[in-house]
Amino acid sequence: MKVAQFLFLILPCALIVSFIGNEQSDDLYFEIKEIRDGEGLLDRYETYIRTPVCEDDKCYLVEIMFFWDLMGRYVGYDTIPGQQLTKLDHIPFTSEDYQKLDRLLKDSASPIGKYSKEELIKDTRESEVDGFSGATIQEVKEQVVSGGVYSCHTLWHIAHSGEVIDSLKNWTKASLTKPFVKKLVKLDDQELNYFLINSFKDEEFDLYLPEVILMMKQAEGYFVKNTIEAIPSNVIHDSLSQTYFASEFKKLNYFSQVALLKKLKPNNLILEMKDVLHGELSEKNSIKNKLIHNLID
Amino acid sequence: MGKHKHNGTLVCVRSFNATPMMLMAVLLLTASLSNSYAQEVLLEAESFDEKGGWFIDQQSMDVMGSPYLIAHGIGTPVADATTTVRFPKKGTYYVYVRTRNWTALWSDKAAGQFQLLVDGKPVPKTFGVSSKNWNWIPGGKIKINDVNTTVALRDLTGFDGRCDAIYFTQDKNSPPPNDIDEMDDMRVRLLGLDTSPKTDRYDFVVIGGGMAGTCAAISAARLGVKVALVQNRPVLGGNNSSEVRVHLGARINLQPYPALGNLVNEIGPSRGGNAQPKDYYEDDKKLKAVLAEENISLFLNHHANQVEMERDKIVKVYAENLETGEKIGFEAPLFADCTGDGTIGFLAGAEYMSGRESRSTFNEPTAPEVADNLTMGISVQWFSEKMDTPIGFPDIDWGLPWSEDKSFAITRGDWDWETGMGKDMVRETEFIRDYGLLVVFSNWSFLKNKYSRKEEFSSERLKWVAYIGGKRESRRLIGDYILTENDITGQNFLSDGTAPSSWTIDLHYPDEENKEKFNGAAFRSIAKHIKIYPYPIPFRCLYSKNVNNLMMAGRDISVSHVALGTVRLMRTGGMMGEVVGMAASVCKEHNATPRQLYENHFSELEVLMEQGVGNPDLEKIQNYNLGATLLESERKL
Repeated sequence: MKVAQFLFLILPCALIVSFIGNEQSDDLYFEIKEIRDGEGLLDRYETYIRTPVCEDDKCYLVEIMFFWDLMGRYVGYDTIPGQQLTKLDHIPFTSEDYQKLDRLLKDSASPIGKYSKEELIKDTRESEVDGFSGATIQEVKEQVVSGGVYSCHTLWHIAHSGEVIDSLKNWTKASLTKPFVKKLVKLDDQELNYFLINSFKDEEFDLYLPEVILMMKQAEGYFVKNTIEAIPSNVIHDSLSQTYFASEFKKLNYFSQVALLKKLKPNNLILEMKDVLHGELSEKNSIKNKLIHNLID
Repeated sequence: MGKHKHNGTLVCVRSFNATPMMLMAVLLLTASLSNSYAQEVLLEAESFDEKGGWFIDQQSMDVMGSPYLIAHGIGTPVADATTTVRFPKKGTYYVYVRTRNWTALWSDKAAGQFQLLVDGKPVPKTFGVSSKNWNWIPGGKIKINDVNTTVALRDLTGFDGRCDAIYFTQDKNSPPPNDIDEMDDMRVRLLGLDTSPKTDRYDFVVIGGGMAGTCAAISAARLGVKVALVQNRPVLGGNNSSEVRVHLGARINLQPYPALGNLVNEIGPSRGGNAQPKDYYEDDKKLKAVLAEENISLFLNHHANQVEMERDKIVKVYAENLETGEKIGFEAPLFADCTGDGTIGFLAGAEYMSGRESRSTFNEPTAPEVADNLTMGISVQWFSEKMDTPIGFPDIDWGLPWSEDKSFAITRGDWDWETGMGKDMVRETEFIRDYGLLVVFSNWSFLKNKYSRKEEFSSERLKWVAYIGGKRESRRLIGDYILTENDITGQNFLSDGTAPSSWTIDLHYPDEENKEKFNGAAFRSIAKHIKIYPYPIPFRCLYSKNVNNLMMAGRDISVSHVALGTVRLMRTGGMMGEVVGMAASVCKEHNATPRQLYENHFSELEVLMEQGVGNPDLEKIQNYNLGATLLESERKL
């Protein structure tokens, strides 16, 4: 599969990602801009794409607006007034075609991501050797707009380009400030929350501790365990942190409790934490009990 | 026959050719023992020296009494199975063949027909045509001119004719018994089977060599436990073997124990895909991994079907060699039932569940209002390959009535060629698998011969059809805890959590349209999914509540029907195996039962789960068929 070539330029205020796609030697260039909310905080990203797409020696122009969220996740497109998308022979997209394109672009797991343009129109049989049945390619064909296979393919690969996603995430990460993090935490978005704890440097956990605690309060799954493991030891022993964990200890799941106990040090425990740990001791043989004994005996 | 070096002794890795010694055991001149018997010879088909193109099928032996040979030629007659029989003396014999007409349930024609050749000449009768049940079919009178005579099974159709055994007698009026117990007695008498089999002692005996059992054995062995691994097929891997061809599914290396799954990564195939060519499933990789463990004695082609109890403990498990019928005893303080069907637990009197529990049983929203026997089904997968030139396929007259609107104009049957929901998954395995074969052949014969666009299939050759069914659900042995839907969806993580289950709660149902078209007997299925956060399966689900030294891994653990929907995936089962193997090492260390481990030594299992038993440095190759979860992000370590 031919991999499109991307090049990025990032400028403050108007983030510009210059995207050069090398598909049949047609360079593709576009700029991605950041959009800010009323508070002046980063909100999302958008771009205007204008590129010729050639199919069977016939070329047509694609003009479209794309939007990504702060995690670089594609969220939607918009048409340019007066610039309809067209298929082969310049037949305009129907409203069903637009809906189909929307469904395709929103499917980040679409099998179209695995195929080159050429593979999409090959005899489906030939692809069986790599473990994907002919039916899979048939399924891709059903997802794309008939007569607009190449533009669907090009647009999907822009929308879900790993390089675009990474650069947008990096841009978001570089823009983290206290008010921006406060805003992000309110979104209660699991992937975003993981992004934040993965982004914070050790010394930043202290600054963002109230937001980190808020994220843990609304978290599901293993977020609390993972966050405890990410928080530096000195921040865990901060009285705000210990007070929080002491009050929440019983509500934490077993694995979060064990992660916390592994982080705590006997000499730095506040009284409330010691009391909680005493109350948690049981007869059962478990790592939790052993760790508690190590902390309070 | 392969041999595996093991602590200074040689342990047979049962394979595939009978030995001369064995043949001697097959024949017995009973007249020398008692004058009341006629001159008689019992010949088990599975003991033939050369199987030709016939396969051993043991899937129904607990029901019909024996492994049998099946001529699974996918429409092309298979090569003869042959052996040399030593008759007690020359003369006239009456011959009986234990067989059945497997299509008699659906048609008055017979799919799997075969002949019995004695000294190169067919006996007068053609077999596989008359009885719908397993029966001794009289084959007529033959003359034996040489005490050493060749006997052969000649397949006539390539459509799954089957033969269990052949009986020769000089007594005109003594057909062999059809009763299973009487037949057992006859086998012991005529095959000279040892009624007090040789027994070997191990620290831990794992029955079932699918992903769960294989991982359990390796895990325990790496932690210093002497293990016997008993598997009733010639290959390891179970549903992921090249015999069934279901790819691994679900995720490994997850919270709360990211090291669990390293072993699954180590032995699991690198490529995904259901119903793909044989080499996708890397049977050898699993076998080599087991053979590399000095602490494992591997017994392939051995079916465990008897237990010896002392109060609430299993003392011994006996397994039967599929070819010779010889039994071996396995004595151990600890056993693991990784059979899928919960065979060992069942034999030991372990409490179990099957079918679907009612909603009120565990207050599960997804459970039906009223309990019933609907389980998920058995898949009979298949695929065709494109040839350079047109190739025919028999226009069968024994298939189901087929038509354009019933046909599936496709070249691969995936997991959703699934049938038998509502049938008894243990007792009716042969029927369910046979119906799966019947519909595959009926559809394919239609496409090749009668379909309006049959030219599209003219160069397609039906390359592979499973004859070992891919089973999803049967008995669930009850442990000290029964995992339910609410535990999983409510993220009720328990402190004895072990291997995380990450696949959706994925329950299969008959496809209604297909069910209607085929008189209520659906062979296509649909799946309904509920996404979950990875949920660590409690250790108390991995041992029996009332058989005190029996653990489980795989689909026969202590879960509700609904919870089975997620834990049943093979990567998850493999991780359960890793845990059960670790638990075996802790039990050995303290001479403890699994329950005592839970109560008194659990911290040691926690440490082992944090460490893992698989090689952590290998490239992570288990990246296919991961399934969707609610946990789409993780902390970067």
